[in-house]
Amino acid sequence: MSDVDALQTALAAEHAAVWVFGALGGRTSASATPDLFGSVSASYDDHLDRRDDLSDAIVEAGGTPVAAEPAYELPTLDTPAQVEAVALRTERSCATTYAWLTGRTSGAWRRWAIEALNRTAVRELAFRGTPEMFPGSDEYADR
Amino acid sequence: MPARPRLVSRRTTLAVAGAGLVVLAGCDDRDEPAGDPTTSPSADPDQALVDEVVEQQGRAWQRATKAGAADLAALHAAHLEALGAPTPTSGQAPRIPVRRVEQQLQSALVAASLTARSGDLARLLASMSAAVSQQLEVR
Repeated sequence: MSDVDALQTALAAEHAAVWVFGALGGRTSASATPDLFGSVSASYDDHLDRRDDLSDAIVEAGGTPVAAEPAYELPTLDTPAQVEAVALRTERSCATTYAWLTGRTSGAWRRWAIEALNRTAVRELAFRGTPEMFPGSDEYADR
Repeated sequence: MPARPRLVSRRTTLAVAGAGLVVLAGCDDRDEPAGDPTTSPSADPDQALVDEVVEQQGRAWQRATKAGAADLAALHAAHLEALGAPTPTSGQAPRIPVRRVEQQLQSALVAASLTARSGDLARLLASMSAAVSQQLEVR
């Protein structure tokens, strides 16, 4: 797998994260749950930035960025707790992607992936996540 | 000197997003094979890096233990185990605040991940740095 292929995989994940956090923002009240709204908005902005970083890099490398799916499946989102749970699951999934990308890249892109992993691991905490032993690399915790 | 960590090298399944969507990745292993316990440590280009990280994790464990931060000590013990090293039985804790030790360790783990030759080791070290970042956030 080339670096561009690895970036394409991460981009596919970011497309999904942007879509999910956009949907979560639409189900979150800025007045009733301002903290949650702020956290969801911050995640949305971060994932937008990362999606654009990846897309730009793939174009610069001569590739064609993978497109987003038309839509992504979401569970029922009737309560703030359900929004938090999906947000947490999404950040954890992205942490897995960033950790994977760290091992598949070097230099500037590895640095980018490490930073993204650190940021998303911290963001998990805003969605009632608890500190983990190996964010993004659960198999080490399972051994 | 600790044994070379036996790093997990396997196909990675990335479950992405809130529900339903799964992105499969990591279908090849560009990295060199996981550490062979029969290989001489001198043949491993990452061994010096691992030794350095083990020393830093050991210092952080000492400091966390002295401060009575059991969860933090458990984190460093788990990280040492993943690196194939035991928790230290002797040694002096650094005379600086726990938070400072953790900040230094987090930076060192990022730097080590950047320089690791093995992709699997880089991934493990990056994950450790993220775990320390989480601890810094909640303290």
